[in-house]
Amino acid sequence: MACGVAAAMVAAAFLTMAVVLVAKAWSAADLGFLFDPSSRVADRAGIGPALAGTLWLAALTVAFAFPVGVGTAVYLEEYLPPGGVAVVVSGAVANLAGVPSVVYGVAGLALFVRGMGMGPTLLAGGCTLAALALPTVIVTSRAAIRAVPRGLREAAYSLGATRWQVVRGQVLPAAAPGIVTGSCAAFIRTVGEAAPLLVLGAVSVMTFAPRSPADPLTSLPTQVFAWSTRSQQDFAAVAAGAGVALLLVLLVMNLVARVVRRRLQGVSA
Amino acid sequence: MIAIGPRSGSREGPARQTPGGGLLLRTARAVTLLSALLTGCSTDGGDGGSILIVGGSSSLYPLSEAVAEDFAREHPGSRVVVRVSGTSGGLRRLCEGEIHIAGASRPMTSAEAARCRSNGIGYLALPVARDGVAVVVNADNVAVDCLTLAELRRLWEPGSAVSTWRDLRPVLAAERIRLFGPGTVSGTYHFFTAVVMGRAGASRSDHYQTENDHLIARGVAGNRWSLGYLGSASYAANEDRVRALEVDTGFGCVPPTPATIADGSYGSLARDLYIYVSDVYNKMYNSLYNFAIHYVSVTQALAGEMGYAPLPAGEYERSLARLATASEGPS
Repeated sequence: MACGVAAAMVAAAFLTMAVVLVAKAWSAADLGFLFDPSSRVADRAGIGPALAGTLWLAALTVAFAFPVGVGTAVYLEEYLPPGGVAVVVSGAVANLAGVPSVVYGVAGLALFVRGMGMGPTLLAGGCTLAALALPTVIVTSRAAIRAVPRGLREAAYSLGATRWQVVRGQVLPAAAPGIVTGSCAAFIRTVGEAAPLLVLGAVSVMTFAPRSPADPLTSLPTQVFAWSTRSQQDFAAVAAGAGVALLLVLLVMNLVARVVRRRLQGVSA
Repeated sequence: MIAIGPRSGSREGPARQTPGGGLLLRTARAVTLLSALLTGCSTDGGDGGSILIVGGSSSLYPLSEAVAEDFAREHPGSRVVVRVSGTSGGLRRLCEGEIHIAGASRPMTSAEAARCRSNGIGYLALPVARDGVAVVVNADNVAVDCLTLAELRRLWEPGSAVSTWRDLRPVLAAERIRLFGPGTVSGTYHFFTAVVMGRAGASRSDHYQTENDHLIARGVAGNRWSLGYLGSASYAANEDRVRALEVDTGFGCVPPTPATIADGSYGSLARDLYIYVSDVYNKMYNSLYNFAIHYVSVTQALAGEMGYAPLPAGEYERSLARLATASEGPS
């Protein structure tokens, strides 16, 4: 009963948010909105560069954080002997998962933008967001790997498989649905972040869609923020429109993860 | 012979090493492949990928935004980015070669010029418009219409004893004044403190500070007893939510309108706004000067519409002539 009420409240909250956003965004909706750059006139403002920036950031974040995160999880679970080092690393990862995203922005500014001389580019943004997603990817991947039955590994070892063969042939396929689910949740949260990108130096106006990771940093969340600080009322609708677009991007990411998971479950079953 | 020897020990020995290496290798390969794919897309850019970066004063931001938008529409394929970093931040970045045009609400200081010189970066300083510093209060606060420079000084000086409206003038309400103003890297901050206090940077600091003029207007709009100051163009964009006070700078009580700013009656709180155009010679040289020429030539038309006061026409012609000379090549 209580669970039913809780579920109904969550559903109601999501629907309310979607309805409010769509209702506000309605006046801004047309095809040009998806491709045009921002403008000083709300009617002409579009999310072209911001949308492209967010797609770049999503691709970069997944490309950096997924292999590194899953690799780290495999190493921690399957290779590193329990005790000393493992405890320290696990503690560090767990603590990193709790660090606020703005702090990652400050660290990214010092490390990627200034230290490595990337400047306020999409590449620096992708690296920072990847660092932000990494602890969650590691923690959820470790949980998924740990849930693989011991017997599966031992059966493979008894047939003479090497450790890598066990990991690759048995553990990873069995853990993959869990890894994908957990990682995807981390990526979706991360790609919706504005705070770290604002610290890195996201641009206010960009007249073109970014074509490479070396282009200036822009994204849907920072564009929503920029528009919502403007005084003209019309920009509230434009900001809501960008919010809807952001929701759609995240929804698509979720669907992709779902399809991948289905496939993987089919394989491992 | 190949198989038998090492095999028995391989589970714990070499196998421990190679799989780790294999995984790393695969990861590394995946990453390099992906980044190659991602960066591969950039090489098809037609104009060599040069990006023109405009930064600096938030007082000029509305104008820079408008000019960038118009320029991009007229020159498809051009790539312009506008950032806001305040006058000081913008001029510093200009002299570091990080941005190409900096908006400034005050002339460059000698220290800033020295930094440009030591980095080998030349620049043109072009006046583009005049604006005034508007002192704004909440629209519901109708008890006060005009403040004198002396009153502004008592209110904003370091260690000011004024905390309520009554402290400022005995007839006003005994309500605490909530203050909003630009941050310390802002040219408006330097200018206002220099005019009102007589020394740039001398200001009380117990107020809300932001580089975003819209946030100043919002803050003032949200509290009945608040007061803030910001560029008059930003005030023009927020006329419906805050009210500008008249200021007596020695010519009687005068409101900050484009007309009073242009004819000088707004007095010492009116100022010239500049763009500094860097001469970094690279492949974007032409688009840089094209953009600057566009900036100067459309400003005359856009300035009034956006709450600035246009300069006399001769000023624009002189700026265009200087740009034309400069664009003929690096000297």
